[in-house]
Amino acid sequence: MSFEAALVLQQQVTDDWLARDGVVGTAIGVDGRGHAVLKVYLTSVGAAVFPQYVVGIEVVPEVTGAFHSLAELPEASDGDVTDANRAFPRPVPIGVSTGHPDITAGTIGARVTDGDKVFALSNNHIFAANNGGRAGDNLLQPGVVDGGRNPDDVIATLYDFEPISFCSGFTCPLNQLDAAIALTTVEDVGNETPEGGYGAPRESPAEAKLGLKVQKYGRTTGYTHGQVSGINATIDVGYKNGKARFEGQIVITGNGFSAGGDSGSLIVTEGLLLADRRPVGLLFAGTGTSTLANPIELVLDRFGVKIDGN
Amino acid sequence: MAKDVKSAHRELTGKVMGRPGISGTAIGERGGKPCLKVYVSDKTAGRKVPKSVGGFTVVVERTGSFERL
Repeated sequence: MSFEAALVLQQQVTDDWLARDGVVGTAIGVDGRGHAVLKVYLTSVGAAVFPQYVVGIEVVPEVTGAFHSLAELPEASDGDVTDANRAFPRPVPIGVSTGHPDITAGTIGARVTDGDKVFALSNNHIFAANNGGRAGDNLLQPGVVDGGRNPDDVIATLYDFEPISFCSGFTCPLNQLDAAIALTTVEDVGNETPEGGYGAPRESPAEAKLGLKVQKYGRTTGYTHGQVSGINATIDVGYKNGKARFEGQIVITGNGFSAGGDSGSLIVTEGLLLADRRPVGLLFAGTGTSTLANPIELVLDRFGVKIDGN
Repeated sequence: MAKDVKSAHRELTGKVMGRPGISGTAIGERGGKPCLKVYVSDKTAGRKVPKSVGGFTVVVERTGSFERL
């Protein structure tokens, strides 16, 4: 939908919507695919309810809290714009921009280890360029779209990936993983998110259960929070080279939980003490409202690795 | 119970996947009970989805199409 149409809609509804309790603003935004959306800023979750689409334009509620002048800005919070797309000094944090030289950019999910070597974890479509990569290919931090250059910004080399089988004609082979690992060192890749994130993930994974509260740190939307709303999902996912069908996937709800560039992010639990920061999924796809992830245990089993966390 | 909802999910998936406007299916929860979900990219696709399968309510969610991020 065009920006002009979104602007017209915004003008039509803003006075009415702002008059409702809990609504603090509206704005034009873009979704992960560059489409204009109408954002509604709220004081708290569920403060007001809106249709998901109005005249074909997606309405995206965002909890911002009340706006303050910059001089009295409270501590950084959910939804803040981050700088996870910049170049970081080595060892780089997890949750920041990365990619194969042939793609734009995604996210370093985590550092993983087989007990001997250490690897960076992300998606096939980030580290292996949609099956196009070869073992030994350079991987960059930041990704190309964020100014990363090959070979100056090499952070790791492609080590292994699970190929994606694309639909062809009427047949859609089933996939479970969009995952890849890259050989690196502890001097190149750290195991914590940037400050203001959840920190280091734990080693021990948690099963995705309906209603489970989760969090992630990614290149585009930074530190965000969501909830598991679907399990065992079968989903058709659009890629640059066509459609691919995935089964056994995790669906996470939470407007603004992810956007283009967050692919590869590790999704971990959000809970108390030992129930916090346990790995749940590897983020790889989504819509404006939902995020899709591979179950992390399948990913780790595929490569024979564990999360190198704490 | 878990086995039942899984087989109902398989049945639903076999019926609806590949139809135009259908993005996916999943097991979800509604009102504290397991349900089946169908993700659609347009309203008309949702209308042709069964209301229930194997005794489990089918909830249609208009998510749009899933794309790699």
